[in-house]
Amino acid sequence: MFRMAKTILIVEDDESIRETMQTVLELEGHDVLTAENGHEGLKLLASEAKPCLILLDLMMPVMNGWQFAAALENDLKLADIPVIIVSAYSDKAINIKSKAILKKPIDLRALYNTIKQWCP
Amino acid sequence: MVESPFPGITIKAFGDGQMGQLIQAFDWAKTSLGPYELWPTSLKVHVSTILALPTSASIFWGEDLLQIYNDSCSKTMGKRHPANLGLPVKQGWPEAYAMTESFFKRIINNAEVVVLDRAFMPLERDGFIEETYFDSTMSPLRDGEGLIRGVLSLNSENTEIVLSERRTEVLRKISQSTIAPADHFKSLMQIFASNPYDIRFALLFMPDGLEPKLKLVANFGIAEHLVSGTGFDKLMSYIRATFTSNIMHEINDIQNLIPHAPIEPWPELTQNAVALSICSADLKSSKGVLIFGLSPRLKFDDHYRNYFTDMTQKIANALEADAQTRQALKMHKSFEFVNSVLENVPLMIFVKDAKELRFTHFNKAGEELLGYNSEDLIGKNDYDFFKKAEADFFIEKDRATLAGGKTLDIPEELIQTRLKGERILHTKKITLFDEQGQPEFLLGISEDITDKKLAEEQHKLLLQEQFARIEAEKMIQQRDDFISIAAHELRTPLTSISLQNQLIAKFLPTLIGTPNVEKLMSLTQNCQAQIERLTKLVENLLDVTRATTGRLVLDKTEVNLSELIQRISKGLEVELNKTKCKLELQLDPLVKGMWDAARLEQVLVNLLSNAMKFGKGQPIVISAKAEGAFAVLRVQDHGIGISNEDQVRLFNRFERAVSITSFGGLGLGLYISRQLVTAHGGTIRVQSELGTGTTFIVELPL
Repeated sequence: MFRMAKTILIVEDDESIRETMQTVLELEGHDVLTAENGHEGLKLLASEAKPCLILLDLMMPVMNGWQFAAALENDLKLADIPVIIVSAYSDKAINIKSKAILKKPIDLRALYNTIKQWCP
Repeated sequence: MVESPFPGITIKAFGDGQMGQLIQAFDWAKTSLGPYELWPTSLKVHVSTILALPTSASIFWGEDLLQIYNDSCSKTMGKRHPANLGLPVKQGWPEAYAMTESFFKRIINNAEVVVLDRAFMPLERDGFIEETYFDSTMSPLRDGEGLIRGVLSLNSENTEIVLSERRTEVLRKISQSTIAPADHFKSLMQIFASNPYDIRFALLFMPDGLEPKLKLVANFGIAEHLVSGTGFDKLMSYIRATFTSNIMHEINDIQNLIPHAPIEPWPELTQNAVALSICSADLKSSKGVLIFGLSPRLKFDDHYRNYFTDMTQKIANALEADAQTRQALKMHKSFEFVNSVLENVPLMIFVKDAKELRFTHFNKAGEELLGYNSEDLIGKNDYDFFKKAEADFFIEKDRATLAGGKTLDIPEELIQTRLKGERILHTKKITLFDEQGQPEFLLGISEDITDKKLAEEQHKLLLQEQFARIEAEKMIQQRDDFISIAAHELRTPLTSISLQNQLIAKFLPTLIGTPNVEKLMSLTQNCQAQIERLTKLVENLLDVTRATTGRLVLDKTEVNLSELIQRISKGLEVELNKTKCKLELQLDPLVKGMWDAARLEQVLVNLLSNAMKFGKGQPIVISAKAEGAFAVLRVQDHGIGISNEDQVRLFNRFERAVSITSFGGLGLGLYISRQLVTAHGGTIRVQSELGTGTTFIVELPL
């Protein structure tokens, strides 16, 4: 399936972090989709083109990161999208099949490196 | 006219009495005395004399000793009068003459005078041989020539006196003896046996146990085996009738009912008996029935009858007394029982008289409590032992109890004891009334509740402490919860700020050449350093909550401790230079184990930071080596040191060994370090002396 080479999905409930991350990624030349929670994220994935990477927060209302990751894994069309966990609960994230963990507060350089790796 | 042998005395006739007329009318010609007219004058004089005597007198005259007697004598002769007049003694008193023949001979032949004192005389005067007693004086009677021709017998009968005396004696014995079932009435039977002339036999019937059936319980005079047979049923019906009616029954056919041989010393069969109910004067209830065999030689007159009645009455009284004694004994025993209970209960029990409120009784527990002997207390009142105010209180309660007539409950009262100090009592006061319903005694029962109260208070205190601890734990929980929430909440804006600051820092270099851009760059750098510092504080707080909730998770990989130390010390070079502490490393090259490198770094940074903070610019030594199964890490400074008491609480949460005004920090470092080391299965401890420095020793399992 066609994958948007430059599109990154951010699923994060905190508006300030979400918008800052969006700015950072857009300045790097990416198209950015944002969702406030897992449920919205799944809705975006169903309607929009498939992103090259998902940055996923864990603690969120409505549908949290763990539930989102589980739904993703069960959807054959979406299961191959790499997921990067971005969370303060780094130790709780171990149960999720993810490509990497970015611990909050986010180190900008680490964020760049990760993105470069999965969305060149 | 008859010629008188005594000049001056003329015998005209034998007077007007019955005997005088009888003697004159009697046909003496048929007797050996011959016609009256031929009698010698001396005999006539003798006869005249006895007829004039008020006492009983007889003359036995002539060869055959023919009897002539006076009026008084005739009254004692029963049916022998008047037949015996003019009869020879041998014929007239055959039973008595058997005994008296020798006397007659001695009197006549030897001119002796025979005096008999209460002599037993078997006289048949009423159709049966009677047991009689006489005082007799028998003296010779002479004729005109002085020859002994007859015997004068002067008698006074005292049968009644003799009988009365011996019967009184038996009644006396009954009164003085203990008549009780205890000896199976042996003593009673012995008393009966002492009077066999009146009591031929005696049979005692009593109810058998609780059954109303009467049973022979004791016997005298008749053997037990005789009391049975065909007539026995009839006897029992007499007995039952007597028992229920309390009326004396005369039994005239006792030989039919209990056939038995004559009882010694009388040769006659015992034909008559009486059955009497053993019943005290109030006639309330009969205790049994007594059957007495009557003497065949005694008239069943009122005296005899009353004798049995009196005897039975006395026996009834004795039995009643015995029953009362036993009842009293039983009462005494039950009183003793109650007394010993009262004496031994662990409560103070005292009794005061209602009038003066003086102690009349005090039990053992009371003595022990007050510290006085019963003897010291009895007769005294409260004022003798307690202070006036205390005694006033007690007396007031006593009076209130007596006035109300009800039980007064005093849940708590203080009492000053002699040996045990002040005690708290729970007392009940009760009025005891006399037969007229007037208060007679005051009964007091006191329980010493001092220990109970003390225990209660201690329990209350314990509960309070427990409550306080739970409250404190709750507060600590709330604090930890708050810290956890606060830390998480802080981290989200921190993430945002950090990311934005980094973005600014990244793009500022593109503005080089613009005024002040270098200064802005330096500011964003400082800003980032402060953000990281803040981040660390938040991380520490989160570690604390992780540790307290048991959520510390280790990411173990193979770590070389020496390499880790070298890397960290390099990273802290700037700070070391600032504190002017020289760092000396004594590291074995290979100290490897499966540890969480990031967590060990946290511990090392913490220990090293402390060493720098409190090291007073003196050298710091870090050593690492393998010792047995452990990797041992030492971080030693030569700074201010830690006092012993501070060492104890050093590893607790939010504790600091130094005052917060001199040194900052949340006081979490060592707590987190210990939690991290413990999570690795290791230990951390401190060795320190004030003024010389501190060494932290960490041991980690290899």
